[in-house]
Amino acid sequence: MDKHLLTNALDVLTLNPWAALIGMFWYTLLFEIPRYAMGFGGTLAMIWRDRVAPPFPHLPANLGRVSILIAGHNEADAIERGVRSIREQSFNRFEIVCVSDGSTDGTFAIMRRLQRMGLVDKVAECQTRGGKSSALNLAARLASGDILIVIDCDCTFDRDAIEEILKPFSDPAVGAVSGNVLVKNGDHSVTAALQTIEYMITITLGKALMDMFGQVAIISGAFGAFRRSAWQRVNGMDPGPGEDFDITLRLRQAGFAIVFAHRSICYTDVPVALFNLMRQRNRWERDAFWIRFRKFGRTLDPRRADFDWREVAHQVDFVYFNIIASIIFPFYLTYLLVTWGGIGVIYLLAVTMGLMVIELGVFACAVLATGKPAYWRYIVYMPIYGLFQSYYMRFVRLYAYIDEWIFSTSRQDSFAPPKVNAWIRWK
Amino acid sequence: MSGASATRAVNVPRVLVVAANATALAPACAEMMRRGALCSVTAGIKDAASSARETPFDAILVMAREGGPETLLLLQLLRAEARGNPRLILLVDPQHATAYVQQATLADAMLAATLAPERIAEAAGVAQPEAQVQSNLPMVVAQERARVLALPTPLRPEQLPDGIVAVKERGEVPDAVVLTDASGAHLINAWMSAAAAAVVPVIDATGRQKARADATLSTLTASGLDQALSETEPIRARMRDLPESYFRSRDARSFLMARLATRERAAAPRRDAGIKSTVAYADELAVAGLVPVAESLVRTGHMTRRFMDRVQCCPTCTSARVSVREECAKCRSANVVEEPIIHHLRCGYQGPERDFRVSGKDGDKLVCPKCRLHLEHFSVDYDKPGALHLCEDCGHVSGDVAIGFLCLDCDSHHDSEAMRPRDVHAYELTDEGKQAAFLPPIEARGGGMGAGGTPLREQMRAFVTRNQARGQPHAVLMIRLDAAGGARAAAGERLWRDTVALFASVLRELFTPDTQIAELGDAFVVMVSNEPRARVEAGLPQIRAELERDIAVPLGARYDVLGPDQLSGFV
Repeated sequence: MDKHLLTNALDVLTLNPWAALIGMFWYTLLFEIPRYAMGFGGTLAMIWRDRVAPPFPHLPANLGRVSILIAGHNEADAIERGVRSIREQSFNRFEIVCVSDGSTDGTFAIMRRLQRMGLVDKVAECQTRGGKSSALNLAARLASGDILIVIDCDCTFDRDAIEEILKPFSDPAVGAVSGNVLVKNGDHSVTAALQTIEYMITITLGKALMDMFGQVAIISGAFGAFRRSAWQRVNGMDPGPGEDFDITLRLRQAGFAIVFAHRSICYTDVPVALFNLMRQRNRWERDAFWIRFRKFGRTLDPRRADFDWREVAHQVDFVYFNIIASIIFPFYLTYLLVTWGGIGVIYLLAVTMGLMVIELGVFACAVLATGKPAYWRYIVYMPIYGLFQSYYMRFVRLYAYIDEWIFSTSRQDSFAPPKVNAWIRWK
Repeated sequence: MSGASATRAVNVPRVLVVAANATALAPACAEMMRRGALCSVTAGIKDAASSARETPFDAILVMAREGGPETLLLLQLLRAEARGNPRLILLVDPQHATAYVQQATLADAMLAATLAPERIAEAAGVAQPEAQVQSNLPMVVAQERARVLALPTPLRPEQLPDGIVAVKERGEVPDAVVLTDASGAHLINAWMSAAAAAVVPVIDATGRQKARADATLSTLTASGLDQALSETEPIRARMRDLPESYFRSRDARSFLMARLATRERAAAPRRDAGIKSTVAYADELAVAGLVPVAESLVRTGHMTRRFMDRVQCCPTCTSARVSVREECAKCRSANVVEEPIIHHLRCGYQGPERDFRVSGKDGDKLVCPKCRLHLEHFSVDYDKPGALHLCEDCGHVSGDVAIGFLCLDCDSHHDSEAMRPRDVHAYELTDEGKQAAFLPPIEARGGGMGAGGTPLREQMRAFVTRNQARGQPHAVLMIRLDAAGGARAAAGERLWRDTVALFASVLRELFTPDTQIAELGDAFVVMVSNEPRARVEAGLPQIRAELERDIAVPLGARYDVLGPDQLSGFV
């Protein structure tokens, strides 16, 4: 590194520190520091609440019957392990309803075998694929439970996961509860390890923070619980991409409280290769964009009778921290390099190092919040986590937003079959 | 017999009819009286026995009662105490003829009670006056070609072809048996030894005993019988090749080998819904206990077996007459209906068709219960991707049904796991078996298992004899799984079979390869040479631990060790 360049950089900071800070670090100050501050705040609030006054310490007195719904398409490799994991639960007074959604790999035969073994209570088969939404609707129709728990075939669960996800239903206002999703294949690649950290920070911490403000806007499709009355009020799942996000927003609009149960932990597999991760996130971000602004754009219209500031809050949060931050970031980089030249690179490195310290703190909070000390081992990936988020994931998101905004690419998603996609009202 | 008939022709025949309901036999009584016989009718056992003791009847007709043991008792009494050795004729309902097999062995003939009065009268030896005259006429006897036994009633002279002589004495081995009534099949064993009954060809003149018969006759005439005898000539020719000692044998293995060898065919199973096992072997009518006998011959290399079918048997009563049903997985009712699943593509609702069906003035319509839209066009706005099963009794809805088995004999209900599968085989003589069939019987060659014996008994005898001859210590370890009962039921049939197979393999691994181990279903007999009983007993805890170490299923096993003292009884 040029010694003059370092001296010049230091001179700029010392001669006019405020101007330098605002001129160079404005992006960090506007987008990154607040997000991390909220992470810290959320963690502290969650820990305080858990210790002082846990909101749902016990299972509801009148819980009613519980049904676990599993809808799978070609899940022959995963279905048995998932069911057995569920049958190992500390709370085991539930029925399991499985629906094979057009599987061609023998999934239904395995479901029937599990039924004969007494591990599954009801099974049904759709010989042609109809999409996850319709399969879950059928499973809900077959289920007899007052609480419906939706899980993904390929997930496994902590022994008390079901018990913990049921506890919030002691509040009659709660319509649905989102479980906490962690990564189980984090050791398979660097990409998977970075996602492990990301899941802990964005789901365990992020949702815990949103939960403090009643702003849980998405019940994970991998693990979520619904009061049947709430499910029926919104008529179950709608077809289309991002069905978990969609039903959460409809439940919120119907006035149901959505809660995040951070102690209710399930584990899922994440993409191991960087390219697969990019494809997955592209789809997720496109779906989020479509649902938020095409299907539920009306929530931002103050002239509507059902306008609710609570819905505006999570929309604004998304717009600010995801969309605007992603759009501005390339311009910020360009500005920094054009205006400040080599000094800009030094400042970027300095910012990255500074943020790394903050991220370490956030990581520590996340591990504490999950209550899983084993996740400390991922601390070795923290030096590249910030770079991964800033220079990879941010551009993936930006690409997805532009792609969806201009080309409505989500219409070509294969998440639902064409016969279903044909009926989705694309706006 | 001919002498007795001649006497009866001179004297007035006396017949006693024992029947609770004499009305049924009134026509037969009338016919016998028309022919000049003296008929007495009585109802009770006591009265009948008393009459038989006092009066020398020529024939006593016994109408079988529903209570078989009563009839058996009466026949025993009559056989033991009746004066003048009268001919005992058992009259039965032909539908239930097989229920009186045991009784039939005490009778001289078993007839259908529904038989024409003339036939009953003839069976009782009350002939037409003119026939009696004819029977006393001198006749030219042709050269004897064959001797036939007709059961249950004798053949009339005009039914006998030239050169064919009727067998009249019990115990004589005829060249063929002619069944004049279906009930006659059950009398074959009463007329001749089991060895002869196994091989003598049977000609069915009734059309109702085809399974037992080697040839059939549509009408019982001399020419028809002549032709049937020609058909059975190859069997009779091979029968003549059997050694004389065969007909004195009591070894069921020899019977089966001789029967199949004289007929040059295999013992093949056939379906029979009339019996609990649903599968029968025609040859079983001639050789009782065919399957275990054939299995023992398979083990000795005299027969081979070929898989034919697998039937599921009720674990309660072993019947294979079971109804296989699709049932509700929840309440096990068979009242389950299948209904299509409808997927409304527009809103994603998916459920059974009844959710959508709405009756209106214009007829049935499909209306989505979620979005209230009418379903209009199959495959455009709605789809039917599968079907559900709805239980009409408990309302349970599922995509799958359970399979249940209802036993038609004992009415018990079982899941498929509990059913006991039984393999059915066809058995065929090997070349060695074909040769052995025409040699002196196995028992006569010194290798037999004797009457009532089993291959295990034979093995044990050989084991003990061998060790005694060598002066070696020896012991037998007997292991019975599920000794107290309950273990098999607790495990379920399929798991139990796997467990027993695992146990057997561990047992074989535990002992040296030269140790004889006999397997009898859930029991094992280990014949240990060169070890005294005390040592085997001392090692029993370790043996037991080794055997049961890797088996999770409770075995309920009992272990017993027998020494030379207890085993000497086998020699």
